[in-house]
Amino acid sequence: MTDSLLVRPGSTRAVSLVRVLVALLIWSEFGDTFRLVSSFHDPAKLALGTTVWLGSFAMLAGWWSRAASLVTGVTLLTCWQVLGELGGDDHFRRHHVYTLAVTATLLSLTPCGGSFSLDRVRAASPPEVGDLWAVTLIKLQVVAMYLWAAYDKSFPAFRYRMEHYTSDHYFGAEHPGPWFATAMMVAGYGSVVLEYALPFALWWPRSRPVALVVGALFHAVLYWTLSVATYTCTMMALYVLFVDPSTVHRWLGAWLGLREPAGGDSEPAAR
Amino acid sequence: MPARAAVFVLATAIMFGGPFDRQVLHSDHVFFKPWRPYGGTAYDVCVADFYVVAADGSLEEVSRLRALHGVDHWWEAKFTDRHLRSPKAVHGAARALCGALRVEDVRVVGRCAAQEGWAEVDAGVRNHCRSAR
Repeated sequence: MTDSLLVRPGSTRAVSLVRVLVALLIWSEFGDTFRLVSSFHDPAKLALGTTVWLGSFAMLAGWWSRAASLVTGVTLLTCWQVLGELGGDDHFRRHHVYTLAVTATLLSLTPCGGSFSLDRVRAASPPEVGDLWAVTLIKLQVVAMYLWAAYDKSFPAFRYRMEHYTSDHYFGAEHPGPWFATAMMVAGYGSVVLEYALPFALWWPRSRPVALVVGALFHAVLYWTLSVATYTCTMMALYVLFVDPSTVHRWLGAWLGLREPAGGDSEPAAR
Repeated sequence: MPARAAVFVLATAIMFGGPFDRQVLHSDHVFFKPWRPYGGTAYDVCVADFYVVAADGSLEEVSRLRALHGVDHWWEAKFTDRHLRSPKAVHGAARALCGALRVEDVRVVGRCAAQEGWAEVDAGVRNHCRSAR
């Protein structure tokens, strides 16, 4: 049991794809915040921003992938803590910012440079296999996020928060009608039920395909209706890790037309 | 392997124990992340219905957006015109309606967002045109 939890050989394509996606999401999320013109007057922000830019660029290229992920993740966690929690900058306190920071940090524990990377080119294209034990940690972070968000929404005040948020986005001071409170209650409690169910459904192989589709739709609706920035795309990227690594390996191979090395398959058997 | 096991246990403890500390025990340990969707935002939101009191004492609802901004629906209004961000803004809109509609008695039933729901800011008993003069 401990061995299967802490030793999990498998294809590196899924986790490497997530490394590339997370680097792009970091650029999308922090493009304005860390742009030179926005940060050159503040030495601390300039140093943090420059580190994030360099680290995430190395992540994207797959150059020293694990070290780059660690530097990027720890720098973003520092931003969350120092600029956000202690400094009061709301941007850095947001859930999706923390999620990107933790994911980048945890990617450093995975063989995230095993595919789609300069690391692999420099190593003369070794088989795309590695120990994926830390992928379980990233999946656990997704589970924790859903469960604690659902717990927070499990109190009656949440439906009012939905009303505040929706009024803020759409109706302003205009009362939309008597249906509004009911609609917010249904939407609010519906999302609570879904967020309690998703962690278990994503983990259980038989319900996983349905959970991935329902979860992706849920996040797509959030993206369409509310301002959630990169949160939706981050969650969809992390969903890749819930799919069996050998399946992702085959899909990406077929999609990108990647040839396997002569004399054998670089994809290990799924455990 | 022991190091890997230690990292696994520590990371899992932070992921699940940190929010437990913040959300269940209500601590203020800022190095743990609480997961509070939509928390801390949209508390500067008010909703309000405005009424003109006729000579016979009956209340007739009036559209603030039509009277003050020349539009019929919220989706036609500018984002800033659509919102009243504080009790002061709600009362200010009521006073502005007195002049815009040239009436003597405008009432407002309004509430603003609060931590645990809505807080009433006006129950419609006050004539705002008196204070407008």
